Amino acid sequence: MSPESTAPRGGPTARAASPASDDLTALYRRFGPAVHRRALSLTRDAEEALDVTQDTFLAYMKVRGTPRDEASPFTVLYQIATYRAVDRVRRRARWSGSLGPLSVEDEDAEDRRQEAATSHTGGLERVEALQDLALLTQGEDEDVLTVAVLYFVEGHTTEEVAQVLDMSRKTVSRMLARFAERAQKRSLRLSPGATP
Amino acid sequence: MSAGERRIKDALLERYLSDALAPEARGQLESVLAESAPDRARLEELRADSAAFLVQHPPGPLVARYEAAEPARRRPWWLLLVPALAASVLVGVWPRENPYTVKGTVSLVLHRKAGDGSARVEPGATLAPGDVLQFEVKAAEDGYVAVLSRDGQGTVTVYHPFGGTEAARYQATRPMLPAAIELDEVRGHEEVYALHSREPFALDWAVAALTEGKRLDAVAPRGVAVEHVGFDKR
Repeated sequence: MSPESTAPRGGPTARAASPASDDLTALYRRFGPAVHRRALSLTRDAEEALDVTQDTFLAYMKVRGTPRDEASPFTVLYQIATYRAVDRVRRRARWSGSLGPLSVEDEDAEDRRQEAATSHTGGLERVEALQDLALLTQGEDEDVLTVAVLYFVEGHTTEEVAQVLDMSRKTVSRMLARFAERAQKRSLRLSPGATP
Repeated sequence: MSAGERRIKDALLERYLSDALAPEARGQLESVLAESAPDRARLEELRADSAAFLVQHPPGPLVARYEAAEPARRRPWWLLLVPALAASVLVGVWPRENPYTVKGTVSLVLHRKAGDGSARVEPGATLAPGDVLQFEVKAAEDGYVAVLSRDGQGTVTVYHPFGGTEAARYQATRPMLPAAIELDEVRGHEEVYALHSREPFALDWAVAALTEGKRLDAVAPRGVAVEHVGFDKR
């Protein structure tokens, strides 16, 4: 290409990128690896994780400019990725009863829990717990689902969940308490006779 | 806590690595990092993994996919009527005696899981306790759906969203719902209903109507389409 050419760089068939495409490229470079790792950690499937990663960014581009976009990009992307990955898990999930009691601890109990090994840190146990939670979170919004996964499956304290999702601890606790109430009723339906 | 144990969970390290922490939170985390070799090591692992990921999966294909969808948003408004017109024609020619007939804007097909796959439940099929069902709900547009049932004893259950009180979001491009329901021991005839609307809607009226033995299509609010299929459980 001569210095005087006005053709777009990259060859005669290249199209000039739109501002939105530039934004998407920048978002992907900044958050793509984290989104992918999130998807992979939940789906445990390389192909599904890549699909979820792309779907997450495409979904994010649709919520830009809406009230949802008021939260930080990391928070929104993280929630969308968690939601979509759990959706994949839900399609193959069967109830195992591994999740355990859906109780929300107070701050003192959480401080003590931090010093001890958390449940669901093992491989198979975590997979089963996530599958159970996937069944219980059907129909929940992305933010509630993400909070539930972080707390009940991945062992984060409410403070840590609040930091990851840029929410207040009070909001997290309230969301968990309301979710736990709904989920306990669902879990009775999924495993009749079992104590939640 | 031993010297080899990490103090920062991955989710927070991810936020830090993405430069998405508020200044105060970043300062606190960096103080912990300064004292924790295992967490610094993990951060470097994540950083290296990020670099490798972007080499193996650059943004180009994603951006191309996004741009390929972009022209659709700028099509003349009248072109948007084409799929709606096609759907209305489809409604007109579908055999009315087919219980899965598209009525209004929603159709419902039941699938029974069989091994690693599934089989469509044909009209008049008999199912058994323990059978696992999935629901395929087809509607002309995105919106909100719910699936409910009334079993042989008159018990009403919201299958999707399971136990929910409001319809769940729905994408017309994904008609197979994520719900998988294992049939219980109650025998007899069961009717399953699919409801669809462009707007969110509550389910209390539907649960109440079914509990009283009423037909949902007779009491559904304006804008909510209803379809139902029945099967016998023995």
